[in-house]
Amino acid sequence: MIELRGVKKSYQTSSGEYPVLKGVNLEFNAGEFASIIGKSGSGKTTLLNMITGIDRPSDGEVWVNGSPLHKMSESQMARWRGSNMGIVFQFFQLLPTLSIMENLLLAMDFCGKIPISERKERAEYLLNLVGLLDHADKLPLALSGGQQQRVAIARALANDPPVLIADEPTGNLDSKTAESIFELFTRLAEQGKTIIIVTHDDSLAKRTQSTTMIADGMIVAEKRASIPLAA
Amino acid sequence: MILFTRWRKVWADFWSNKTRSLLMVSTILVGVFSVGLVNNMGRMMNQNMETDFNSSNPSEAQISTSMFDENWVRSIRNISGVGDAEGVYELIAKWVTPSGTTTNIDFLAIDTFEKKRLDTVKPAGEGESLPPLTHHGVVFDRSAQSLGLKPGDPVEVELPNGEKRQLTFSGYIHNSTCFPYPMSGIITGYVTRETGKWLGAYDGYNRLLVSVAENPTDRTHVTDVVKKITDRFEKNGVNVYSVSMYDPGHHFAWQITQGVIFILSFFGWLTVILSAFLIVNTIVALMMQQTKQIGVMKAIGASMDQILPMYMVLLMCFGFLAFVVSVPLSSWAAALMNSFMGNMLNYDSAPASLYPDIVLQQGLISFLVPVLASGIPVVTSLNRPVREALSDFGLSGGTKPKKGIESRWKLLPRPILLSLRNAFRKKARTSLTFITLVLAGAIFIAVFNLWSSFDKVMVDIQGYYLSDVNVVLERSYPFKMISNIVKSIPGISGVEGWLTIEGKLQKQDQKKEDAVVFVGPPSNSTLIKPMMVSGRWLTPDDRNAIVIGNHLQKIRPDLKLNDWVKIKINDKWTNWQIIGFYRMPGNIDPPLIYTNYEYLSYEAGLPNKVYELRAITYEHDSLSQSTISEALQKELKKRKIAVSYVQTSSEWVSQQKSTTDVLAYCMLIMACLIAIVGGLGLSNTMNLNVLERTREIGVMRAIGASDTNIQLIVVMEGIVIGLLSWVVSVILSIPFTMLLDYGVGISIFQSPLDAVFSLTGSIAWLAGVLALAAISSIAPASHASKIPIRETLAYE
Repeated sequence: MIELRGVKKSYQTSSGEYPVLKGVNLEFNAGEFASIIGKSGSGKTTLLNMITGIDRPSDGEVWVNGSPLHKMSESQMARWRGSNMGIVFQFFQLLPTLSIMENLLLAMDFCGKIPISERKERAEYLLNLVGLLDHADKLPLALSGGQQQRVAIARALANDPPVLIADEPTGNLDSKTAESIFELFTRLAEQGKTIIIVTHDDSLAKRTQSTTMIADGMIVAEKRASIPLAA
Repeated sequence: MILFTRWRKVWADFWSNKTRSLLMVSTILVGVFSVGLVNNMGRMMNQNMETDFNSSNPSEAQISTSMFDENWVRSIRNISGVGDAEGVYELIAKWVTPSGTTTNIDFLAIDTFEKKRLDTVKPAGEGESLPPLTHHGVVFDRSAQSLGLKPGDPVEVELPNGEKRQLTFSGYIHNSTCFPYPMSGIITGYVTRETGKWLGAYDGYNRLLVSVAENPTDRTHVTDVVKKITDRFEKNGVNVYSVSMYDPGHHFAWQITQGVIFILSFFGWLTVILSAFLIVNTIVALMMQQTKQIGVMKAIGASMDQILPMYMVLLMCFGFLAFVVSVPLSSWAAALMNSFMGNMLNYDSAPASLYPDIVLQQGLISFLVPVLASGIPVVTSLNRPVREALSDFGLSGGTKPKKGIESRWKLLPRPILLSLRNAFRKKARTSLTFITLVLAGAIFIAVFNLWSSFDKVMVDIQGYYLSDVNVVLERSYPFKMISNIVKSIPGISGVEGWLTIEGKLQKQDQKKEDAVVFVGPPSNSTLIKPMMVSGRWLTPDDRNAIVIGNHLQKIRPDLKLNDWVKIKINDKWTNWQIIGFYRMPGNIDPPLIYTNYEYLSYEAGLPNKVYELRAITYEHDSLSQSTISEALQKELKKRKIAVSYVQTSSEWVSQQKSTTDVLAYCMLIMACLIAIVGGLGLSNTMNLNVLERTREIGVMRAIGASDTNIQLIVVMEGIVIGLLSWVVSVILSIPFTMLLDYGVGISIFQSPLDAVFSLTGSIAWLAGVLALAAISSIAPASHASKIPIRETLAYE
């Protein structure tokens, strides 16, 4: 269960305070595959950052599975995030000096949730899940964009978090690769993960269980439909 | 064993960017090496010098007297405070070396090497044995090895009475208590008593070596013990001619060495500070490159206490490598320099060894300096919020357009204007590099200035020895007679007769005395140009007026201008008034007191007689001086004039310079190490600048910049920083030179050196800094121009 109550966020700029989120109230249920859509500059990535704890609200509260993210210190937040939330970035953000396998192991290493003896096996399982087990020893730069995004998803799943958050996960991919990534999310949602993606692709958003539209820092529309995931 | 993946990342960061790791390691290494080199060298020199010196059971004082015998020696051993005593017969003769120069040999006639009790000798080299002291054979101290004699070679010497004797060279020994030949110009030679007699020695001894029972380094105590001996000698009819006590209980170079080590240590620590600046620079850049990765790690669950140790360990890896390389390297380099100094200063140098406390010090520098220097940059980076860490995209560094260099220097090509602007984009980084280069340059220039100050010292000392050829006579001769002989030599334009007499200055307690030497130039002398500190120099009207110097002031700080003092000359107390103070660099013992020849000769009972001749030649080059010196010696011999020794001013200068050059070379090595730090700093900055602007370079290339354009922009940037730092270095070198002249002067010459500012250092550093700038920038520039545009734009 993810709940945002009256979340506001402003940034200090050279021309004064700039409000990005203007009092957002939002809820996502456990096991939901949701999407957030909006135009560039509408505040959707900031909203996502509030949910992941990457950024703090200027005002309001963020609760994820009963944990008050808005009250956590940076270090507490990092620990909590490692166990409870997997993040997939638009630009993949894989560590360039580590192999694909090591990128996954690093996440498990920091979190300490998966026993040491099981980590390698789990990393192989996840890479197999995203179809990249054969590339385990390669460095990220040796893979295509789609492959890197799939590794990023595998990494996000490393500590078996109940929530997966993805910011424009298909934004830099061709349509065929984007489709395969979306299918992967769908499969994960079917397995019970809560998945929230930010996208500007309406056609993808329509295929999620709920869609929230943000514009100018405010929620302007919410659509919750009981549509089958694979549709 | 499963290695946590985070440590694999540390290893990957270390190994994947080898250039950066190499720069980091070398930056730490230079500082650790410098401190290790200086400390190891100081330790080795002090230990080896004192061990070698003390192993020879050294005498603290040598007393030159009229003849005495073994019974005398035995009775002196019973005087309280005397540890041991030994009598030797000393005589000086001349030898024409294989290279054609004439040199003096200080012969010591002894029973055997084994029977020597004081100033004992050792084989010349490890694994060698002492050469035999044969009938009509001679053994030299190994400091004369440069003359190239081999056992069996003939050594034809000329005795003071003009007779010649042919000795056979038997080999070399090592005596750490004697002045080495390259510095004194006199060879220490050993012969048997029988051979000594054949060379003109008498039965008995004319020199007593004395070692005190305790407190050998206490000059006052040694003086008191020597006084008891000289009193006994004089009461019983043995004339005491002179007492020599250079630096009791220590090797002759010990005091100079302490000064040199102190100054070099200062340079060593300065290098550490400069390298710490560079570490900060490199770490800041490293952390900037890692910002996004740190953001990602935090995003996937890493806490501060997990990430901080990763970077600390990475720094310690750099430190560890620097430590592992610099410890043996500094020890080896120190041993090399110690061996060089050992040859120069006549002591046995031991092989390189590691001193635990120095290794510990190097370890602390290797690990702590990088950690301390990088603490703030690392923590600042780690505290950066994840959102900020992940939000850097596009080209960085753009701010408001400024009306600056560009509007003023419109004529400059745009790429050069870009270089000028680039040089100051990273102000903190450029400032640290700039400070490093400025300090390195200022020290480099100051060392060259110090060298020039040494040259001035030589000129100043020469003011006391303005003649071309100095002749010291065995006894006094009438000046008129002897000057006619000298003037008859072609090439000599003039001659002065001087008197040099030992005296004893009454101490304040009126019971004891300090040995002094009167030097009496004629009142109208043109061959002395003293450096006056206060008061005035002698005028022809002065009678019992004296001018004293810094060496006497050191042992008698109570003496003031216009004071009257009592000095004993030939057992007669005489009164003198101090009218001036002069300054003379170097160690002079006993101290010299200048007075007019006319009055001194009257007081000494030697009217119109002289002990020294100071001749002026028409030509002042070393060859002319040597030729005339040879001719003069021949003529004096022909006229049966007993000559003690002859020295040309060129020989004297080259001996003096050999000491200061050793010092200057040591300092130059340290200056070069500091210059390397400066070069590393610039290279580091240029590499980091290029690395950070990879994307910007890609954009420039995409819009049409050629390889040459890109290279020019980078190289010009390095040169701009180098040139600006040079200007400030030149200004800063002025106070540095004054500090160095003061420190080196006090520790080595007992008086501050006059600051001399020569262009050589400034020009050398200009050339050096431009070369460093070019070398530091060419590699990054070439690298920048070779990266494919696609990669530069994809660079994260």
